[in-house]
Amino acid sequence: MSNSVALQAQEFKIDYGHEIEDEIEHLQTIIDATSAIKSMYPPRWLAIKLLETDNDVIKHLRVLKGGENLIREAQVSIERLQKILGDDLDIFMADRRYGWINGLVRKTVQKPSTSNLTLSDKIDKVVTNRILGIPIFLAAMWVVFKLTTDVSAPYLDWVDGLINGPILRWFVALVNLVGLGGSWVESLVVDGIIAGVGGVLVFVPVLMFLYVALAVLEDSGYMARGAFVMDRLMHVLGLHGKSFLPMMVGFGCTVPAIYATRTLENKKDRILTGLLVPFMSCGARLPVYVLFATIFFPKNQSTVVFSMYLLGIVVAIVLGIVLKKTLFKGKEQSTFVMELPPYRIPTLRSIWIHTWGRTGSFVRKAWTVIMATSIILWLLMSIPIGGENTFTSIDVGDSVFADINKAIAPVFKPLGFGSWEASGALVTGFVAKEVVISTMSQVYSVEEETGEIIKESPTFFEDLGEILSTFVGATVDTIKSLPLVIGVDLFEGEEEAEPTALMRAVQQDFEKTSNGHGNLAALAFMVFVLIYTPCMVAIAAERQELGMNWTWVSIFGQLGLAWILSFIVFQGGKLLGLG
Amino acid sequence: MLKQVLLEIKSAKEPVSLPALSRKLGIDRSALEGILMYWVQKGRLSDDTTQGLEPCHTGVCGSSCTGPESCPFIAQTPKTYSLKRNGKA
Repeated sequence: MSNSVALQAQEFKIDYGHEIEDEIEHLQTIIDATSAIKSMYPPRWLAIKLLETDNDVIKHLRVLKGGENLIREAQVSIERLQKILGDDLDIFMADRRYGWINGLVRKTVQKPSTSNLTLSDKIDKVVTNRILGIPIFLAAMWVVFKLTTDVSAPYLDWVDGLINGPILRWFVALVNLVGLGGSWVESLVVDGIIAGVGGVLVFVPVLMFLYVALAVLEDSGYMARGAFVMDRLMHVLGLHGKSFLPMMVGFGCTVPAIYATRTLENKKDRILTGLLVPFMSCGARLPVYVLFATIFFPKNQSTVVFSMYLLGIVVAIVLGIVLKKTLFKGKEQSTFVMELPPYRIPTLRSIWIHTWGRTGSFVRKAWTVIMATSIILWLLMSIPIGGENTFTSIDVGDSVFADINKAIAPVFKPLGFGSWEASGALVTGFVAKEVVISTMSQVYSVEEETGEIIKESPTFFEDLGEILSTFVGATVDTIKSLPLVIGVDLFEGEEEAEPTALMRAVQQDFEKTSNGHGNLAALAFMVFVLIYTPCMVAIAAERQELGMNWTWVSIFGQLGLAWILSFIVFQGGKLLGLG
Repeated sequence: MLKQVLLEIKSAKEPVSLPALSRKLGIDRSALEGILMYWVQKGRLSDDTTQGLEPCHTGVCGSSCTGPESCPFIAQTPKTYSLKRNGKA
């Protein structure tokens, strides 16, 4: 090393305190006396590295003459210092360095004489305020659901018209073209695939709007604040503060939410959070809420849907507190630090990527799991039980599927939806929650005769024209729907859209099984869908993360709780004279 | 300074945001992040951000992920640092 650099090294020196400086000086003396080492490393630097137990330096020292002796001396120095300072020496020395740097920065860096608070900090003073934080978060979520249910409605109607209009006609024409018209193939296509898969795809616009709204909140940085205020609430209630982060993931899908419980260090906290995560209403349940809210609560759709999500959070928190005080008693929760990213204006690209990814996942599920389930359901609904019916030429009520579910239906009678159609839909919801809707589309079979479909069929190009014109109309209506978020109804005075055949069938069924209390029965049904066992993939995730015993507890516990809460909603509502 | 940060986290009665911690201790945010990472390396704090979500990145959860690289439902969860069970201050 040149003399000028050595001189500079001597001038620059952090003071580690006299105890450590004494040991550094002692080691420097030994290094100065060992020529093989002195020629390789600056003495003070090496002494500091030895006191910090730098394994890389020690490894290189071992091969040098005098190196082992120096390492032994350093170890003795470390033991002496730890007796005095009582802590890991390397941490103490790092602390000194950070303190020195901090002091230097304060002396030399001139910051603008404006407030230390950034714009993000100023916004956070309100948004993460102890009193205002949660109401603001709930208000933001309410706006999300208002946007999702009200503003997406025109596109939902468009997709419904598209699937049950041109697409149905094209498939029927195709089947007839290959000479299979009137056969079981046509029944499979119309009553199985299109009814089942189509029934779910109708809700693509709803989910897309939900994912757009969530992407805006995430990209803007607000979602982190929402998680922060909810985590703080969980901590106050005695639950683990970090529990809300996996729950937040659960609003999209329960499966990654269960895996996200791994962020919790303690096993009890992981199991408890894993048991609570399924109460967060995943995206798959949204089509069920939207359908029932549209049918039974047309003037308050967004409020009803929002209430389901809120109820899920409340049930999770209440159950969490109960379990924490009983089965999951443990030490006081340690706290944590959460990074809050600065606010920013969301980019269209980022919103699109997140929306497309999540919506794409929903559509892929429709073409895989839901299609497979629809085909199996079609088969079960096409096989007759006794009588003169034949395969596919039966009333659905006389099928194997109906027969199985007629045995289960009485369980749901006290809840107001004791029909085999409703219970069948809930059973198939075990496969995937979207299947509740596709099953309802199939079991409430109200399709027109396919002969009629062909007779009145417009041409292919007329269909294309209709698709385009109705799409433009839906787009205009969607824009007109935007002010609904702030309560301004630009559709006032216009004719309400006609309910679909499915909506009429569901309404009639629920009114019948509830003896005229259709609204209450619908609410009870939605509560049941919210609370009962999650889908089979989520159960598999629970099994992996929580173990088989706790998975059984979750399955039967959620089933039981769903029944009890739905009972309270229906019977309690009747007692109070509601619905 | 390092120990001051750890002590502050340990003594906090509720979750703390990084900006608030930075203001309270009078430490620049970027410096504070460096200090938190130091404690993560020392094993006194854990960095919890993506720990629980690895299976989803491999697509083994069986759900309808877009592929092995990502799960579309992973919310952009913020980074958190928590005290490890045997974390001393």
